[in-house]
Amino acid sequence: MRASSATGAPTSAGSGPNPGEPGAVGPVALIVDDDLAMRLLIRQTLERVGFACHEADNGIAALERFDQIAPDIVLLDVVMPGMNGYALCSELRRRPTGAFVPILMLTGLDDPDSINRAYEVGATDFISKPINWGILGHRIRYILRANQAFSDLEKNRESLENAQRIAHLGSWEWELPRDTVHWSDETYRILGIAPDAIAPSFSAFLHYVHPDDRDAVQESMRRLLQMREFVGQVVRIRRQDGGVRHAQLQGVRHLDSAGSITRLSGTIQDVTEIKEAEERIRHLAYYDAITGLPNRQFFIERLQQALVHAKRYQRLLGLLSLDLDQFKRINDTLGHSAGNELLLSVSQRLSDAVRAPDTFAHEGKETIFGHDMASTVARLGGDEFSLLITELTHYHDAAKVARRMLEELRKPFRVAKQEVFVSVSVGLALYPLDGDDAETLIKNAGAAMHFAKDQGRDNYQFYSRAMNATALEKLSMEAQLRRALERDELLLHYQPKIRPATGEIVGLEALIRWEHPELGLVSPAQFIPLAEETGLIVPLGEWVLLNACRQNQDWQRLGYPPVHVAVNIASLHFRQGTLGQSVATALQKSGLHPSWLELEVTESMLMDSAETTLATLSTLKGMGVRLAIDDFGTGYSSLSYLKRFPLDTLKIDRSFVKDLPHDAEDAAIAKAIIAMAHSLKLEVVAEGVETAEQLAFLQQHGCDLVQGFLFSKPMAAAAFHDVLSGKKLKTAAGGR
Amino acid sequence: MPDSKRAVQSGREVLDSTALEAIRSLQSDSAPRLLAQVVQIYLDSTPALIEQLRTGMRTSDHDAIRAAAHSLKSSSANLGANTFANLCRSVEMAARDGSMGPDVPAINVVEHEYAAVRHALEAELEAMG
Repeated sequence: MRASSATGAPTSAGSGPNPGEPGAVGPVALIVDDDLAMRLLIRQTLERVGFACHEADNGIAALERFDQIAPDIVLLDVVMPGMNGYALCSELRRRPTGAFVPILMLTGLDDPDSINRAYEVGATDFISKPINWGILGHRIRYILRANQAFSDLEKNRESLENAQRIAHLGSWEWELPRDTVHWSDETYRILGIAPDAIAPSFSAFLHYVHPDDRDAVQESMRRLLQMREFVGQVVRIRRQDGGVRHAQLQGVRHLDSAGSITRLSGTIQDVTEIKEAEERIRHLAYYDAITGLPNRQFFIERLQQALVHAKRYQRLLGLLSLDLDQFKRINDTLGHSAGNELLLSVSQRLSDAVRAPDTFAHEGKETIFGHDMASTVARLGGDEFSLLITELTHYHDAAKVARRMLEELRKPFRVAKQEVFVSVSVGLALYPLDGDDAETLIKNAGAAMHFAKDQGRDNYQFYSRAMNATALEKLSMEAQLRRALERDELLLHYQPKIRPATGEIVGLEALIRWEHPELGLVSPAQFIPLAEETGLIVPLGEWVLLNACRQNQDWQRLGYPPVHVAVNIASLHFRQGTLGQSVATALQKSGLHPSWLELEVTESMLMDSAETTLATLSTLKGMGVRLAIDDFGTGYSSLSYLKRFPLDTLKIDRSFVKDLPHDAEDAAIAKAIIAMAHSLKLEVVAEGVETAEQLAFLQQHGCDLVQGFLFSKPMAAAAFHDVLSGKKLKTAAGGR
Repeated sequence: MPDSKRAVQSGREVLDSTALEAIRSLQSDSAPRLLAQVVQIYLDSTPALIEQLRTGMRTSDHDAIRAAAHSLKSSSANLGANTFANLCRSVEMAARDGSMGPDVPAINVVEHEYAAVRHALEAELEAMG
């Protein structure tokens, strides 16, 4: 009972092979006894069967040694000075590495109390003294092997549990004969309850399944019992805390040798994250990244579904196409991120607007998507949004929504720390009135939206039949105008410019006419805006230039006294930079001397971009043609530019002539324009002269030339043959 | 060996030879003199334990008596000194129960038996050489 050091024995306690030494490959034993002779004997016994042994002669030393060497087995004497064997055993079991190490206690054979106590403190087994040395080695090897099997099993269980936890995979077993059910810890966790919190059973499980999925689970279980397989399914689990998880269920059955079912087992796997990932992917494919609204693809699918439903149940659908009126300006001035911010705010307002409770008359009715889905707002791209309203009871409900959206968007937005204002143009197409397939409805809603834009923005327009007709008319008119160019349905009329003092014709203004084969003469007021809109104005202008030059050249060739012919130049033609080429071509093809061609350009065209204009005018002037400023007085002219432009003629707009000489203001303006033109060394022409009084006033104030019905309306070229030979015209009044 | 012979002659076995044989059988190349070592450790450590027992009895220190008797019992039984081990066991039980009455073997009885064990073991050592 004394420490071995007191025995004076030569072998010191704690000696033994170092675990790092070569040869220390067998299982490691820790021998704890205060009796040197016992340690010696035990060591010898164990070394013979391949153990590496370490010794300790007291409890404290034993703990230290245990932590160093992590033995595979511990042999422990009960009675020791200081910390006894029981206390040491308890201490070892509390260590994380000591929980499963086999601990053998050396107890007296005659002392059953000590054996009981040994088990109580967690000893694996006991060895009674006096020790039977012959069998001790075998005994210990046996214990080690049994413990290995046990700890392997424990490790398997642990790693399986880890794997299950990582995979969110729970398992269950149902022993049918005894009707006992076991759930793994992870199964409890998936259900959102603490392990063993409730008694496991199939009905307990069903309680956690979403009510809508319960039938399916029961059906699967029936199939498993009747047939071989369990149909794997994903069901919703409703946890105690209200959270919903998606769980994949699998099951198999186990049969005995007679073929009857003894056991069912299966798995439950939480696949919520997988589902969510799928959902995110779906979202990316079907939703717009900036606003989170459905994208075009999704919207079209929704529309198609809604159409199927609407056709079957004879319902009305409303499709709204929305386009922001000032988006480009905001994007350009505040930047793209501000633009995106605005799109997001707009999408929120639109969504709010359709969700407002008083929007729909049929509020509360069941809708086709089962959710609050009477309407779908989508961003189709750019600043283009679309809204689908299903279950429309009246067409005017759609208009109501459109009005609400207009109102909502008129309110200022706060974007990039600034207040910005936008408005929206809305087009409405209705099923079945305006189309019965998705493509047509979207196209027609878009057309209606463009019409709304044409109407001055910030308004809504239905795609009505009448509107449809207008658009078609425009379209066919364009086609016919193209054809007119090709088929020579166009012709020129000429209106003379007279020097009133002599009645001499000094020039002719060429004016285009369209002789439609069915409609007859079509007014330029009808087709010129269309030609401008479609770009046809340029080929049209070239046609006029060429034909006016040819006509003039013909007259000159025929020996008529020469006059200059004036052609009106369209703004687009003037701006786009091909005018010089067009003029050169016309002169070259006709052979007309440039000085007999006058180009009439309006005041507003000249002042639009004065520097470019100056360059263009100089080029033209360099070619030798005459240049006139048309419609003078209607725009704003900078005198300094006017002075620099190489002009020959100034034409006073007819609006100043109309009320002459009685309107004092017009009279003053006319007088001033004439005076100014003369000071700039320009020849002055007054347009729209219809009365002798007007003529008298203009003559009195030195107007050089006049043009108007007083002398002649525009006439076909043939009509001028006689006139030109005399080259003089009397006033219409005078001629009468 | 006269003590050893006497023990046999008196019809009372001082040492159970099977115990010594069991230990001897554990001997190997790495521990060729294991038995001799164990016997020597026993002989070296026992006098002090007997002294502890004697002092304990004189001062009625039951814990000291019990501890010494337990050790003597255990180490003696290990070497097959069963009679001596049984004596020690009786002392240990009495000390544990606190009933050190007249039937408890007297210290001189313990010492006398140990002398027999010692003689027998010394003879064994001598025989081992």
